[in-house]
Amino acid sequence: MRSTIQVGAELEHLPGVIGFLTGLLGSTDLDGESRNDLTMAVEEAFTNIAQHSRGAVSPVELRVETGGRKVSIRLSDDGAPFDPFAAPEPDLVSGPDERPVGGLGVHLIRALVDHAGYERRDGRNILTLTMYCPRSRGRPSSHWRDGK
Amino acid sequence: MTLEIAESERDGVLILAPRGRIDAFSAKVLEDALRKAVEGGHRHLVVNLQDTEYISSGGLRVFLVTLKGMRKDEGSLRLCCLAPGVHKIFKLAGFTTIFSIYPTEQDALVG
Repeated sequence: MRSTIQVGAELEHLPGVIGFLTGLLGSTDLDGESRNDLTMAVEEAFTNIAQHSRGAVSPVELRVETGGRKVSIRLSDDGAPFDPFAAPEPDLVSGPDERPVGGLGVHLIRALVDHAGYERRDGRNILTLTMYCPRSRGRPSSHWRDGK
Repeated sequence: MTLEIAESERDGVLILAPRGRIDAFSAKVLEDALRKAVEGGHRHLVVNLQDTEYISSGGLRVFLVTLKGMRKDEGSLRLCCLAPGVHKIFKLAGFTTIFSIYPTEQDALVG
């Protein structure tokens, strides 16, 4: 099943995004923790777009695909090209005085979902977040696709 | 999705208890409450996260900025009663090594 909404790339629309997602995920086979993790990853991704919309003129498109043994969420915007996963991993070990502020959103996206990917296509940034049922943490997604 | 913050004081220590979700949208509420507490002269704060069901990187940022500021002023920021989901995010963010986190409010007050 595929559901799509379009929302303005402003933070004020975040509650609407979360509400839309919560309703859809409730009917999937994902367990509660996986639903929370995926919701949080989407929040971080949407916030990233809203805070760095980079000249987007159209609304952000949020597409949720459920079915089979996975839930896939695609966020796309027509802002300037920006690959969030090109950023270096944040410093997670320095002491409190030296610890840089920021950079945790993308790190959390990576850590919370089974697969996160970026591509630039047809003038749009496309971010895809995927969670498998049952959870396949630690399993490379290519193995899953290959049915190994 | 609202965030309400209850305040109480014990033994001269201000205790803030956020109830709800600390996300990118509501993190400003937490930021304002912490700033007001510091500007009001409180050098030692406890934040009880028992009723905080969710925290995003926006909330983590507020805690880190506050911690840095309080350390400069030789104050302290202690956290307690993290729900499992919130503790997981603190751990993923590497925050469990830089924050003083206690299982109960009483433990946090004692330090």
